[in-house]
Amino acid sequence: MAGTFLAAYVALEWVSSIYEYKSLPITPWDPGLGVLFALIVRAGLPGGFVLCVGIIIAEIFVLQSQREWLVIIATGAITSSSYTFTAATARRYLRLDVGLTHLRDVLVLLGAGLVGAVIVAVLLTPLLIAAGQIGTGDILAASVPLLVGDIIGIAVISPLLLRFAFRRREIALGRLLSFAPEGVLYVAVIGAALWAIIGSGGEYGFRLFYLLFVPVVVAAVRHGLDGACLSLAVTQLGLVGLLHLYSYDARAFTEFQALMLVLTATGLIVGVVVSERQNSDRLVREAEARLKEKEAEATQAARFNLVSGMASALAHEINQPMTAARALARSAQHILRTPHGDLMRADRNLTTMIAEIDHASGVVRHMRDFLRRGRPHVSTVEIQGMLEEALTLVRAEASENQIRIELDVSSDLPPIHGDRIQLQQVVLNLIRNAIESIVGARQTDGCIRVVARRLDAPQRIEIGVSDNGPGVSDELAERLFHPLTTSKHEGLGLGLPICTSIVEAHGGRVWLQTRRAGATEFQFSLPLEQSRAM
Amino acid sequence: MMAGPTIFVIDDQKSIRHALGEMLGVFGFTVETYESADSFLRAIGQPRGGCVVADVRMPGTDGIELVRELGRRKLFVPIMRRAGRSKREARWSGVRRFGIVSTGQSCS
Repeated sequence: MAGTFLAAYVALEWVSSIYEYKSLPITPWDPGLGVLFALIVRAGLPGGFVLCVGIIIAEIFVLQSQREWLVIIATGAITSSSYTFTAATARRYLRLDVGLTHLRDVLVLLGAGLVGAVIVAVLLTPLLIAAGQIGTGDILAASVPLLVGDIIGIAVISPLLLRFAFRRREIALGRLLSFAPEGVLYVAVIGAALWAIIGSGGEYGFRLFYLLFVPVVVAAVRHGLDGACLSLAVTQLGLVGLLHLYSYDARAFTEFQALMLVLTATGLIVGVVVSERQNSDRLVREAEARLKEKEAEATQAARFNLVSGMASALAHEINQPMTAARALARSAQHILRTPHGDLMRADRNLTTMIAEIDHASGVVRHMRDFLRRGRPHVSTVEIQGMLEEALTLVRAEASENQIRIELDVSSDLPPIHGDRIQLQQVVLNLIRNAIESIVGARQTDGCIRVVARRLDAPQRIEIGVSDNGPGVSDELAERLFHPLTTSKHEGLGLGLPICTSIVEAHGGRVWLQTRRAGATEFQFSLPLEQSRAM
Repeated sequence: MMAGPTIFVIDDQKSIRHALGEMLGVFGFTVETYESADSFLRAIGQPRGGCVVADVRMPGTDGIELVRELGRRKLFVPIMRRAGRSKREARWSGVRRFGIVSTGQSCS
């Protein structure tokens, strides 16, 4: 890792060392420093050592500096310790997030780079003067390009690396390819703008520099900080390359780099603000999706709870027709084995048997549908059929407890839009509550009525579940619809709140109509118009 | 009705009553079906040869009460019960007291 960075640094120094000022290498921009500053911000002290070693190697082998050993080593030490110090300060005291997710992080990073560069310039200048490399009159001419070059290197390269190289993000190839045409467009626009700027030369070129703001800002607005970093890198590479190609002098170069610095700051700030916005949008969407997921899970769990409470009754409901079917099969078999048996009778037995098996498989199918996992599914629901199906699941338990269930659906009910399974869940919940209330009172004349009626103003269907159980106490009625309320010993008390949320998702409401002993009735309404999609 | 042992099928579920009656009938038994223990007790006046196949859990007089009542009336008909649904019913104290046949399984 350190070796890779070292090699990258030396190579970039080699590429970017274009000018000399009094045998002093003035890198008009320092991408190598940008790379290592990112490493220092990320990894701390080890990054500092890499920078120190890199500077010494670059001085000796790339720039073939004729300076004294001591000066070279001092240069490396001063530079690397300055940047390490500012980076550490940024991370420890200013809580820099290296993912650069917020505007603040980008500003702190740029600030740290700026302060580091200033410290380096302030410390190196006396050293170079003392070493006799530059005179006091050259201070500005030597240090300003150095300062600008260091800062632009950090501003262009460090955020790019922190965003792309250090974050192990799954960048799908397909997604990347889908950006390719857009990327080509940016490169073309940037290239054209650069060509116009550099090609027209001198003063006029400077005035055209604003053209570069267009692609950079568009990329930043569309793709956030990532787009800004990439377009800035492309711009900077093109700019440096063209300046070199057209043999601009160091002074013009530095002036362009100063403009580039403004562009970089603008691009990064726009980019990170857009990224922040995109991020928070995504977080909100994710939170909403999670909430929906949890709701679906809770509803599902409540359904399992409902069915598991009826498990033994349901098993009996399935077992019963199987017992009958077996007896009928034995009977038909016996007839067929008897010479000159009554084949008509065998046929009748088999016909009845098929009906029995259909009944059992119908119960199983309804149960499976009811427990089906998945998102709410809105369809056209026909009330009568929906209620009858719900009753197949609860009938066994009712008859086991000698409770009659009556269904009374008026014939003029139009179908509604809603989730069939969830509506059945509401009905089943209310019926089971009624059963448990009757059983709890040890009544033997239990009767539950399920009534569905159409009502006007507003157009709606009201479904009521009434029982002749012991009623609902004042105290229980108060908190009936709150979660975790139950009058049952073993119940979870999740039933009614979930009924409420289901019915409300359908645009209706649930209420306790009467709670007298012998005439308890829960009702819920479902609007006919604007049945909301969930 | 022909003389000889009769099987009395008592079950509140029509499908079961019909299927058991049909099977036993095909196998050559004389079968009478009742939808409740009460209607059976009303119908049966004096001791008759045969046996009773009854559900345990029924509205009105249930299977256990039926066994006790038959014992009280000294109607020593063997009783075959259909599988109960709870441990309490599976143990079915009446079975031993009245020396009654219990298969412990659904009819086969």
